[in-house]
Amino acid sequence: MHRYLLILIYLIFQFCIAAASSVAAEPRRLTNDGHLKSDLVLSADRSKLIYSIQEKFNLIQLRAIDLESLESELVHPSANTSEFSYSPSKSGEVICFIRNDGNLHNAVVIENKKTSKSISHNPGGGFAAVRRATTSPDGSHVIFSFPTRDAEQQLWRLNVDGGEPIELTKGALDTYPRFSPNGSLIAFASTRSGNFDIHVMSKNGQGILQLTDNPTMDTRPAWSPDNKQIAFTSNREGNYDIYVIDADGTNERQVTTNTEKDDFAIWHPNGRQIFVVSERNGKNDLFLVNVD
Amino acid sequence: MFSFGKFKSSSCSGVSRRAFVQAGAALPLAAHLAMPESAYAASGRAKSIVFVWLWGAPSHLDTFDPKPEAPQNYRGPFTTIPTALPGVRFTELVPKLASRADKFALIRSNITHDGGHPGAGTYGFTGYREGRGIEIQPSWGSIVARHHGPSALPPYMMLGNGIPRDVVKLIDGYGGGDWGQAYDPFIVKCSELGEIDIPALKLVDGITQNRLASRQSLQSQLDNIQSSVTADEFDKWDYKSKQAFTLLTSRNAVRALDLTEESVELRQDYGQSSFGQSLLLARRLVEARVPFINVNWSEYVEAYTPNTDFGWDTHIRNFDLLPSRHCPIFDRAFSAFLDDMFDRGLMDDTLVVCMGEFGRTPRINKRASRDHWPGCYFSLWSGAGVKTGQVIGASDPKAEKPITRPIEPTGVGVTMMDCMGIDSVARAELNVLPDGEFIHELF
Repeated sequence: MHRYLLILIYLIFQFCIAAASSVAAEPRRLTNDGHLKSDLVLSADRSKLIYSIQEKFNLIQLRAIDLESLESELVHPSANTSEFSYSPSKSGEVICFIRNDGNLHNAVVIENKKTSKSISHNPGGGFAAVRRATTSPDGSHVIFSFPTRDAEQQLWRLNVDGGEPIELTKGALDTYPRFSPNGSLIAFASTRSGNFDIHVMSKNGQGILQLTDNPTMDTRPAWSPDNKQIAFTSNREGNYDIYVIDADGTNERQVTTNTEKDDFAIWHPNGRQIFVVSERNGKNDLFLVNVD
Repeated sequence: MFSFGKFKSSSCSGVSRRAFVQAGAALPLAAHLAMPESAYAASGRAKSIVFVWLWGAPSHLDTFDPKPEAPQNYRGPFTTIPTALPGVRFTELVPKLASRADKFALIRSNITHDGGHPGAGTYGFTGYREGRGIEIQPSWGSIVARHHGPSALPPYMMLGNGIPRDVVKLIDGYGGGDWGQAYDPFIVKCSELGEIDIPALKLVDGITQNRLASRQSLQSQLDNIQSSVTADEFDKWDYKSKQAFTLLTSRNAVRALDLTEESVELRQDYGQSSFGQSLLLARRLVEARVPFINVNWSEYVEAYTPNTDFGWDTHIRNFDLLPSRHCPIFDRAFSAFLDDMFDRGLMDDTLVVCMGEFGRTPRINKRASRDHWPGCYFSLWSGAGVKTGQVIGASDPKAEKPITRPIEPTGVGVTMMDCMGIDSVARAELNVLPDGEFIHELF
């Protein structure tokens, strides 16, 4: 009888542990407004999540949410044209973002607090658009995607003080560049395999390595804080979900299984969770999700 | 082919209705045998049309007419996925509609005759050219409105942010054209939360409320307005303001515009987007028997231009914007709309048509995007007897031009009008749509 009681207590204990981990695995909702959101990034001091949001029918703005209080504010409250793809350096002294500067025209804006200089790099004139941009952790330069040849979209490196950009890639549609936290590698989405897959290369554009390989879309890579893993969006199961792969291309696994969209992942500083834009019941909100 | 005067438009038999009547007097039996049964099924079958317009013009290759065997600089980066129809594939950007391909007919051989948005928009809404010295033909909705006559609700309602346009000019063919503003659409804005906004009321001095969050608040505000407006003041208002005021003092009309009567779950199914909630509003207006409802994706065609509302004109960022924004919104909302309409049995007598001004260049441009392509594009059709689960027409291996009979804007118009019972006789009486070939493959 005493033995059965011990077994029962053990089973109840195991059940409680399972239930607790199940609760812990539930995504934590950070916003509840449902507006369209994208392009998540952590602030330099890791206290805020900065993202693009469409609150007005004709304007995309940058908003920052405090991860403790969940209070949020517009980054540029007076902005009257769309802004997105915000990216700070590690110190926060240099930031870049993309701004809609004219008719079908987007420029990359670089603000350097060290020099108090702000430049707007406008390659190509009208009907031309920088797509995505990322600031190097040391704040020395910005990588952005921009097309100049038929059916190509290259990645370019631009000094934060301006000058002529240097072409890093060619021969495919390359986009969503993201520096590894230590600044040595760049992850990006590229069609050089025939469709969008995740690739990495050195910060100088050398040694391009394909990490994922499936016929559907793998895109929007995000490095883990320890430089060892990359989260990305894939629709390989017919729906946008978040996957994680080791930086050497091994150990690929699915993280989210939401029946609606999960997209635009960025890692929590603890390296065990990711922030995502998750569509739930038709609303797009920020969630914090466990990776394992 | 029989013809009458300048009217050459045909029904699905290839014979104009008036010519058919004349011929039928002599050869009634033969003429009836010559007209396929589907012609009778189509004519007058619809009580409402929902005309969904994707302003800016989506890429046909990146959605419903992919060419996976074309060179990479044509086919683009998106893979194809199977649909509910054996052997038919769409791109990965529209998975929900792929699984519902049995709920609509897809035309892959649309063409138009203008490569600019205002011109092609007018072609798409009227069948004819716009320009200096050329009279502006009435739009499909205006023809339906005139044929239908007065009713409790405006017979031509346009759901969107305003009169469609690009940054340079309005689309001339959006409304009554030379018939005048009495046949213009009654414009209703619908926010991503389903809040209703009536622009015409802004024209009226003293009426400042426009954002209508609920029927109760709307009704109480209107009651106040009604009691404060004198007959003299009312007489001074312009046509549109009178129309708006008269409409909104009808409780049934206000109720039709109130999305809060819908369940939360259903509103969520359509998604938190202006386009999604507008489609839900369109369904309510179908139930209220509004004969022509135009749902617009956006007011402006431009995809990324200051103060515009993100149309499908992806000269830039085509391969960025489609997967990250436009297609998920469209795929969800239009799928929910089809499900909802079928579930409620509304598709028996409602014709749904979805399209844009034109397609986009099959060859990817040097901006890694696609430009305007009037030579080939797609349209989606459902309801009112349309034989769903079929692909009509085909394009060449690079989707540059149809290899089957091209479907022109006049054909789209003739088919819609015929479905509403506005046959070639009625069209002749209204002096509209003298050309156009009925799309008999749909029925």
